[in-house]
Amino acid sequence: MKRPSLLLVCAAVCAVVCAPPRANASLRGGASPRDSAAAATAGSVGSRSLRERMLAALPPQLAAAARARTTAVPPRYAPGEVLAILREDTPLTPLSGGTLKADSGPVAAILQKHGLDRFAYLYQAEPAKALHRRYLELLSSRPDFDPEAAASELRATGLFRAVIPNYYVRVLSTIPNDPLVPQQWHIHSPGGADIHLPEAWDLARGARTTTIAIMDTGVDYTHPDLAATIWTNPGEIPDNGVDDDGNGFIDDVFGWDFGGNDSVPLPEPTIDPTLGLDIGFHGTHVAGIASAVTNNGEGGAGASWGCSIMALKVSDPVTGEIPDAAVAAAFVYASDMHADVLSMSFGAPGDPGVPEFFQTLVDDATASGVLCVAAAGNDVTSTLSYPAASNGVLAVGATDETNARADFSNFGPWVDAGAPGSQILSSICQNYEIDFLSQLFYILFFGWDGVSPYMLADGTSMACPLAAGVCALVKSQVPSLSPQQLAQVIIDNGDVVPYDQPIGKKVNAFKAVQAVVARTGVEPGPTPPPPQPAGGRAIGLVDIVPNPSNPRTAIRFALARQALCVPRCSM
Amino acid sequence: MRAEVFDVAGRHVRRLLDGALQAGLHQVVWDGADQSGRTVASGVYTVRVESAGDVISGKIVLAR
Repeated sequence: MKRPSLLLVCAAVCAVVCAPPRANASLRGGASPRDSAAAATAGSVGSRSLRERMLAALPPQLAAAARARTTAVPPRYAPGEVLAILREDTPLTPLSGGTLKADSGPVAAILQKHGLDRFAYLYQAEPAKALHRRYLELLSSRPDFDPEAAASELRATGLFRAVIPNYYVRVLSTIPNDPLVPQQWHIHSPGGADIHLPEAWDLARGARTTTIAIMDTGVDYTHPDLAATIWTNPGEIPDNGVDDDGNGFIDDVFGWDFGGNDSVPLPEPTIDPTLGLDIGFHGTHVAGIASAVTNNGEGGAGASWGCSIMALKVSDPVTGEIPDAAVAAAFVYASDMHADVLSMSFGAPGDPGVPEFFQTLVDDATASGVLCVAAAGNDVTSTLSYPAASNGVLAVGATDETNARADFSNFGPWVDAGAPGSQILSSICQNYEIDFLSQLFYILFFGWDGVSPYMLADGTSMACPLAAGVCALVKSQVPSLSPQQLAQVIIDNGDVVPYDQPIGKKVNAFKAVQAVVARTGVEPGPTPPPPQPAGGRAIGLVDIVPNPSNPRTAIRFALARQALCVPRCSM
Repeated sequence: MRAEVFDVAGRHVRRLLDGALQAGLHQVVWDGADQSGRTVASGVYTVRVESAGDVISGKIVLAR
């Protein structure tokens, strides 16, 4: 199939913003794009029904091509392995060379029964903490290996923190919605359906030193409305092929691609195996909602105003899946590299072992100071979705322009907060090759714009980074807030809205920021320019916060001019 | 430039940064672990940041 040019690629995805109403009318007859987002999550009978309805509207040849590359029953997990998180006393020892040593007993018997004789570290960076050395991928040599049975038997021993098949999770929004004139109503809406960001920004603006990790399909860090807020690893020199900061990742300047295992977490063409359409733009859209460059005369505004975006790509462009193995490794990276907020716009149902697995990841990340924020899901159900339903996660449902629960949003007492997630305008990737069929789909059903690197989308996927951006805005004012305290600030200062189903209070950025400013006495006003070292010095210490510290402290300093590498001395 | 943590006896504990940086405000974070990832004991530590022949240092009180 002929690849489109870069301009066409961009235009194809952008088309979603400016689609003529006529183009959408045919789609609405069967299903809304919101439904399609839910379908991408569910991977169920309902989603296949939707897919068929969408494909039925295509010309026969296109529909046949789309069907040919979708999977009737998408695989739910990777074959040949299970993911295990050991306890300190689990009678299982990973040996050098990738083999496993198990003491005699039930664990050894189960491993032998299922041919689980090799392993790989889920987090392969060196050095790794002892805690993360117990995150393992157990590999089987049996062609008939049953991951669900093996995981179930290992869990039943009670000797593991968690064991699951390497399930695939789904992004929670993929298909943009109806064509509207670009507007970000979630930021400011005369009707009051917004989250009062302009008022919050009157009091405070996010600090570059506060980091939001975006675990998704990659982030286009070259985008004109994102480039200036992308997190950069201060200890890594770009493209020198050396692990400069010794964290186990070579040239991880902007984050890491855990789906492709490389240092380039840019979006790649990624065909969702349920819909057969490209979802690679998803992570860039999410990132823009959280922290697009604001007040720069370009594109839209991001909730945090100026916090850093760490790009953690977890999608596998080959399979189109997001394996839990990649998600687990990205959790550890976010913790080790000191992200403040982790935004996860994906989810999966609570298959056996999944609640414990995500709870373990969340507990360890939270202990490292990371607030986990996750989308509640788009299935119009109260059924728990993970990681959102894990304890310690700020689970975010979606609201719409009428200040109601969005009709696709999951709900229930486990949802902590609501935030706008309908018709959200944000950035999409540029210089990105979208496949011909996806292009045609967008052209036929959403029109064609041709230039704009922005689009509208629906989903709790959009509500999640909006809440995460507000969390980062608050954290910027009080860096010492623990993840639990930070989440509580958001929950306590939300607006009570009489939703038809419970999704918690609606996020109110102004009240949340006001609460911490009042508590700490932080002076209102715009973020000051970076300080300069005094006395003509090359370097100046700004602060060490918190101090005393436990478990971590941030050392901030100012450089008067570019600083080069210091010749290494022996240490 | 380089940022490192030392204990009160002057022993090297952890290298936080070793590379090139642009002018401006920067932040490094110490997670209370030594170079091999082991959690260090409570106490007073010194962070030393060196750039272009200039050196600054600050005290960190680690309280577990």
